[in-house]
Amino acid sequence: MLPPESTKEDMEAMRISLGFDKPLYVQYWKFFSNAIQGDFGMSIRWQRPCMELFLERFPNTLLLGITSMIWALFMGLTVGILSAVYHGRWFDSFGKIIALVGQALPVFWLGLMLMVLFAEWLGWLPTSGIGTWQQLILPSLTLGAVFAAAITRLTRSTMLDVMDSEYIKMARTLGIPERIVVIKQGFKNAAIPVLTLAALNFIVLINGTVITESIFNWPGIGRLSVEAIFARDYPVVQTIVLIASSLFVFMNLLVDVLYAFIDPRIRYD
Amino acid sequence: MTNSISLPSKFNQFLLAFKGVPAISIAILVTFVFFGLFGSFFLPYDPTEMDLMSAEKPPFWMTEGSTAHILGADEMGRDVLARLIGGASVSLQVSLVVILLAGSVGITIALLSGFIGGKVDAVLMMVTDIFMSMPYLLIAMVLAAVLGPSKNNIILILALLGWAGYARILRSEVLRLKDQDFVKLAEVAGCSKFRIMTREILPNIVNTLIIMATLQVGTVIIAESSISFLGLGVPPPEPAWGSMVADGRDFLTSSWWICLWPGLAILFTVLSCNLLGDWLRLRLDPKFRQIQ
Repeated sequence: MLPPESTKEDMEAMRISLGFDKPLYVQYWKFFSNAIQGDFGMSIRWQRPCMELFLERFPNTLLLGITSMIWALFMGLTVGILSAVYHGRWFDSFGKIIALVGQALPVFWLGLMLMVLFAEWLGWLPTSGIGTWQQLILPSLTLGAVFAAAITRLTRSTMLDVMDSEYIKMARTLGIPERIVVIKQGFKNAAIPVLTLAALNFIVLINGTVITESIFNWPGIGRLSVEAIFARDYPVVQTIVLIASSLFVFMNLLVDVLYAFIDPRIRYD
Repeated sequence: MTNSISLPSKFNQFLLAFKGVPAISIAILVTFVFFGLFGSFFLPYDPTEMDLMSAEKPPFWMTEGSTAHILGADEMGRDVLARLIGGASVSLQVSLVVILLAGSVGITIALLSGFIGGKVDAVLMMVTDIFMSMPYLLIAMVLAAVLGPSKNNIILILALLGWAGYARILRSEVLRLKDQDFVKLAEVAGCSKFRIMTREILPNIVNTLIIMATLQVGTVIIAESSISFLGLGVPPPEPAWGSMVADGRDFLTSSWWICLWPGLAILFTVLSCNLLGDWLRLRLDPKFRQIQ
C-alpha cells in the first residue's frame, strides 16, 4: 500500500492511521461498532468505502437474482404441478428427467454451453455484459436452472402427497372442477415446503451468482467478490460475506413469519 | 383346508432386493471409481504432456480428427481423454476424503449434541447454525486464496464447510432414537454413555448417514470443480474437471470439445450419485419401503 522507497516514519504513520498500534480487541471493537453503522472500512484495491462498492453493485445482482427466481418459480411450479397431476404419464417422466439433470448440472458449464449455443452458433443473444434485456436472458437462465430443478422436484412430490389426501377426494366428490381442486385445495397446501425451499435456496443463489456473474461479465456482487478475492482485498470480501450471511438469517426469519400468514394451523398453535 | 402363505424363494428374495436398482447409475459410478483408482494404468498419454503439433485437434469422428486423440486434444495438445481419466482420480480423492472427514465430524457432533443435550447441545447447534448460514462457495474461495490453491487445501476447506449438514440431520435422528425403549433398557442395564452412543444409537443412524454421504458426493464434486474452474482449486498442470472447463473457455467457438467432455463427466457422475442416493433412501428408509 506504500511505495517501496517509503521511510520508516511513513510506515509507522500508516500503521497508526490503520489502527494497528492498538491492541487486537480495540481493533475488533472499532471494526464491529463501525460495521453495525454500515461502515466496513476502505477497500484496499479500489480505495473507496466497501459499503459504497457493495451498494453500487448490489442492484445488478438483485435484478439478476429476481429474474432467475421468477422464471425458476414459474417453470418449477408449472412442471411440478403438471407432473403430479399427470402422475405416471409421459409428462411426469419428462419432469423427472428435467429435475434430475438440472440438479446435477455444474453451473459454470451450463453457462458456457448456453453461451456457445445461443450467442456463438445461433447468434440470437449477446454473450455477456449488462444493459439490454437480451443480456439478462442467458445469465438468468444459468442462475435459475439449479433452482428451477429443485422447485420442480419438491413441488411434484408435495403435490403427490397432497393430492392423495382426504380433503382432495372430498372436494372432488362435491363436484368442484378439477382445475380448481388442483390450484385451490392442492397447491395451496403444497406451497409451504416450496416456500421454505425458495428461501433456503438463497445461499445457493449467492453461490450461483459468484460463478454466473464471472462467466457473463455481469457487474454484480458475485463478480465483485471474485475480483476482491484475487486482489486479496479482504475488507471487501469481509463486507460481502457478512452482508450475505445476515441476509440469509433474515430470510429464514421472514419465512417463519410468512408461514403464519399462509398456514393458519401454525398461527393457532 | 390349509392356509399357507407362500414366501418368495430365497433366490427370488435375492432378486427382489435389487428391484428397481439404478443399474445405469451404478455402472457409471463403477466406471468412475475404477478409472479414479486404476486410471493411471490405462492412460493413452501422460495427461500433462504437451504436444503443440496436435493442439486443438478435434475428436476422431470429425474430418480433421484422428484416432490418436479419440476425444480430441486441448489448446496445448494434451489428450482430452487422458486428462478426463486423470480428473476422475482427483474428483474421487477429493469427494471420498471430504465425505469421510465431514461425515465423521458431523456424526460425532450429532451424537454428542443429541444424546447429551442441555448446554452442550445448545453450543454445538449454535456453531452448526453459524456454519450452515455461511455462503460456502464464497468462504471456500476466500480460504483457498489465503491457504493457497492445492488439492489438500481444497479437501480441508470442503470438509470444514461440509460437516454441518450431517450434524443437523443426524442430531434429529439421535433425538428420535434417544427416547426409545432399547436405549432406556441399555441405560437401565448400566451401559456407559459412550457405549450407548456407539453401540445402540450409531448403528441405527448409519442408514441416514449412507444416504446423506451418497447424495453429498455430487455436491462435493460440483463444489470442487467450481472452485477449480475459478482457478483457486487443484493447481495446473494436474488435470481437474473444473479447470479443464476453464482452460477450454477461451477456445469455445473453435474447439468446443475441450469444454464439453469434462462438463459431461461432471454431469453424469453427479447425476448417478443423486439417483443412487434417491434409490438408497427408498430402500433403506422403512417409511418409504412400505409405500413401495
